[in-house]
Amino acid sequence: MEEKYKKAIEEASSLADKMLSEPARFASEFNIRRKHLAKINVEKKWIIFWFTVNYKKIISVSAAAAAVIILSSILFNLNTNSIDEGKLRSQINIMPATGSVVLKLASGELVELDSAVNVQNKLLGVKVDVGNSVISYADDSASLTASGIQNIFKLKYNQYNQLSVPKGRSYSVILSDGTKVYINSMSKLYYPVEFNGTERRVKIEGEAYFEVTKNEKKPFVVETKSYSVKVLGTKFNINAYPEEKLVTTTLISGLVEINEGKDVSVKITPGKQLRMDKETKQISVEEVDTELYISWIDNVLRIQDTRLEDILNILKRRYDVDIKIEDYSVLNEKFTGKVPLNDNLLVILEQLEKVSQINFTINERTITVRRNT
Amino acid sequence: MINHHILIGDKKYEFKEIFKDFFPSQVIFASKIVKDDHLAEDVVQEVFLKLWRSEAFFQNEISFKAYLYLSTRNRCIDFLRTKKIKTGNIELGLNVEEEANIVLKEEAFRLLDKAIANLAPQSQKIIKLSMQGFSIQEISEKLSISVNTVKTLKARAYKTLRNHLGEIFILMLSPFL
Repeated sequence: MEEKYKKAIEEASSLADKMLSEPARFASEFNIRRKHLAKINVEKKWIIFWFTVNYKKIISVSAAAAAVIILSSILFNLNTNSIDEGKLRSQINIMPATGSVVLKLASGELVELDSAVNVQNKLLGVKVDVGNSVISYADDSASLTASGIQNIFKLKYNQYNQLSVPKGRSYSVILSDGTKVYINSMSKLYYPVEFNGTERRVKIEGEAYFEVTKNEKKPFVVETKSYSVKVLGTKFNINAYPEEKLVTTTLISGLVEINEGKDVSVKITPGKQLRMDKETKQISVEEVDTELYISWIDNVLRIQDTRLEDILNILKRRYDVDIKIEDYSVLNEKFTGKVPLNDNLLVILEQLEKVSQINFTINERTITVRRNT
Repeated sequence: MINHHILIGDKKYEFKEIFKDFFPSQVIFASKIVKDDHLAEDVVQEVFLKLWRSEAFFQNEISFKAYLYLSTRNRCIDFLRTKKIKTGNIELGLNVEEEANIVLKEEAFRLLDKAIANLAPQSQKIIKLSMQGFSIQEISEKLSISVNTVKTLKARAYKTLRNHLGEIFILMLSPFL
């Protein structure tokens, strides 16, 4: 019996190959299976499973130290229609803020990237996809009309551009070397239209995820206010928001070198995160679940044992709201789960309330946070 | 908060990754034996619970997968047995050949899915449509791209897929690695 199973498993990859060659033969099975797969929610099943296996541990820990340890509350995946919109306590609809993404040319001229007309007149030769929020300087996408060539010429002289992404938005840039940068809300990227010289250098304020095109002869350097990150070709996330205590670099693949002044140089490997305390300049390297740090690209907030304070900071960058804290101890409550970042804010808040003793009161654009009594 | 690993050969895998990788496949496999999707999910949940508690070690990928499929199968048969005894029917599920055949197909589909998930988005769409039985012409219309582009992308994707399938590992690297 076991042998038969092993043999079947060994042969699976050659059958997979055959399926590719003769799709028609397997199409109906493929379709039936696809429909079944669509009904299985693995994320949710995993959370249920995780809760089941850890239930006893959680209970014993909390019984022993209930006063000290605040348990991480589990948020179920909100994408699974578990929230009945009709039950929201009010019909207030707070959607992510919608400011405009602005490109500041080296000449000082400002271009709003959400207006197709503006973009066409001012940035010939650069491809802007308004719908998908992408601007591209990569060669193959440049439409080289006569005036376009002129403009590229002009742009090359306009050394560094600055792209500002406002609250509630995110935006991607494809740089002239093909490097992709996803820029998060309330962040700025400074970059040249073309990379001249011996290195590729950009600057970031806020958060961005980089997929750097490999070029060993021309290292890619990202500067933050606290340190710079030097790479050859990798994928990584940098979080350097002014209001956050730590500046973090999370490496997804490849190798990066982090430099601070002349004295500090640290190399990190994939799956590791380097954190620097802005005040004390203290550095630590931790192993992390990297998915947690790049989920924002897909407009999802994935959290694990994340403090409410950090969650509220993220929400403040997405939604145009003021948050008032009445009881500061709530900021240490921890949450785990997954919530959408492009939905009505009330959906997120109600879910947080459901799994904790926290209460949110909403008055126009002000949210007051207190503990349930 | 509480981590758990599975040792396969000299590699260590996170339980969570294994779970996400194999849960859907096991459910599909189980549902073919018990003929009930919800029940299949419950059965597979139990299989993973047992795996979690056993802290087992596996010599290689093949023995791990064989263990998993066999556990699912046995759990299904246990269930059918209790149910069938109640209804008085002694005949149980399938025969071994049939089972091995389902395992073979499911594992092949799973490998294919993993390989496809690593392609660029546009190529993924093309391959998925092609697997659903659409012709190049139909794919070109559906995605509003030229027949030639479909052909080129498809040929390129096939090459990548074949390379991947050759070296496939249970946890084929996720798209970000």
